[in-house]
Amino acid sequence: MILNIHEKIRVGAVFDGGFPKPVWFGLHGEKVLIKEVCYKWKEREGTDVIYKFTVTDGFNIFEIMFSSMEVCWYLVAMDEAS
Amino acid sequence: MILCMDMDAFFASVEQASNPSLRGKPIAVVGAKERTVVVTSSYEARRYGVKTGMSKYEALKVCPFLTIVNARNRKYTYVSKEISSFLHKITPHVEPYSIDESFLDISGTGIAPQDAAYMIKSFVKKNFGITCSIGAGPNKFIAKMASGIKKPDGYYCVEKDKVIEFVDMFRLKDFWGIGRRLTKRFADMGVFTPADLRAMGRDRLVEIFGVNGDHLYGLACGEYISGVKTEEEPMKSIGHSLTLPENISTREEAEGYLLQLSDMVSSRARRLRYSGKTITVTIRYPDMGTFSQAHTIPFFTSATHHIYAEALTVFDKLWTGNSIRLLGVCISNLVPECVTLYNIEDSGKNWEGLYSAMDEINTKYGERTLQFGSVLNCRRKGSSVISPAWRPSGDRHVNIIDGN
Repeated sequence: MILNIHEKIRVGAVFDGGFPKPVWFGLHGEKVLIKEVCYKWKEREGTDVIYKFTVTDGFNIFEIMFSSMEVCWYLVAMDEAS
Repeated sequence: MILCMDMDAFFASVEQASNPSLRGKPIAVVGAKERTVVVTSSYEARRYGVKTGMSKYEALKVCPFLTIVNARNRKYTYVSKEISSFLHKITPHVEPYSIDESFLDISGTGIAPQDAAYMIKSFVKKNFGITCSIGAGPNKFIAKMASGIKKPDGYYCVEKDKVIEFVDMFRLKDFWGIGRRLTKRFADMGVFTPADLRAMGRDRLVEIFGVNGDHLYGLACGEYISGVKTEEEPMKSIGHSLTLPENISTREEAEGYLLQLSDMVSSRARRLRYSGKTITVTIRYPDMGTFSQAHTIPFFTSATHHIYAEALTVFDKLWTGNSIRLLGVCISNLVPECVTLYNIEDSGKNWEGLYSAMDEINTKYGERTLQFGSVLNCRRKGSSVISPAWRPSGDRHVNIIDGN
């Protein structure tokens, strides 16, 4: 089931030009290691470029995003493994 | 040689690629939350009889374990734009035909059709985890028909000397460009196949269908005159429509949507630097009966307040008082490079300053950051439907909101 969340999160990511590469993120005080970036795409909101990702820790699937204008990461949604 | 690239179950494939838990499962992508019809479905769902255009409930009836996914239009438009940019690296002669289909003229590139197809398929698979089917032929019609032969993930090439043989594989009802009405007309004449059509002769077809008869005869012979159009044709109209989240039955409710639609039309006209003088309003009732009425005003305009005032007048003449399912506003009779925001009746009001401020704020912070107050009463704001006229770039590129 998909849970829409949209909350700010801490993310460890590699920035080396182009799309940032998220490596881990914090969720409820725990560090979630990203096993695979399943998909990535870009959206625009005015002049803000938003990088979106679906990632998995091997169990659940998460949608996270990085707002380049706010320089903030968000957990957008979570699809819990049934 | 012309190639036609057609994405396989595009939206559904993108959703399956983005979410591993959906892979290999029957899924259907639906539009917005309300009034949902299946926009596309995965091949797994199609095997159960799920079809585009079915309501969510019909789809769940034929496939009870179907997973329904809300459309993520921005994801699809991003993928479409990226693929379109890649196609332009192969040849500048690219015609985006829809969000998931493009024609390429690779003549003169020195690239063999099968090599170009391999390059495109590899790019699409590697970067987006999805597949496409590619048809190759001496013209757009043959390429388009060939693209459907080996779906999904197929490639089919028709050489010039095999064109008649190829078209004879199809019934006329399956021809690109021959719709249900024309098929019926042909059937009434006892014409079902390309060979039947050729037997009628070009002159007889021209006699019956006028200029189109010549075109139809050409199709039956595998000929197609129009080449890959790389230049965008000038805009003839700018319009938006909204299927309302629930039927409305008062003028007051309609006013909010008409204002929203007028502003969507106006802001696009301002951005593209067009003015127009014919305003058309479209109303669809719950029985799907759709009615439009146009009125031409004596001056050109790009301004929301002019379009809205006229749209209201036309709406009052057109509306029967029944509940409304869809509303549309369109401006046509366009002149390019002309933004007109006020006329003599507006003297003393700084409309230009207002629109300029609105445009600046919305450009910086995103569409609909600043909008007319009455629009806030509308349950649906912005279009969540990707129009067939949508293009990855140029004047027909429109930012679409997600369907959820």
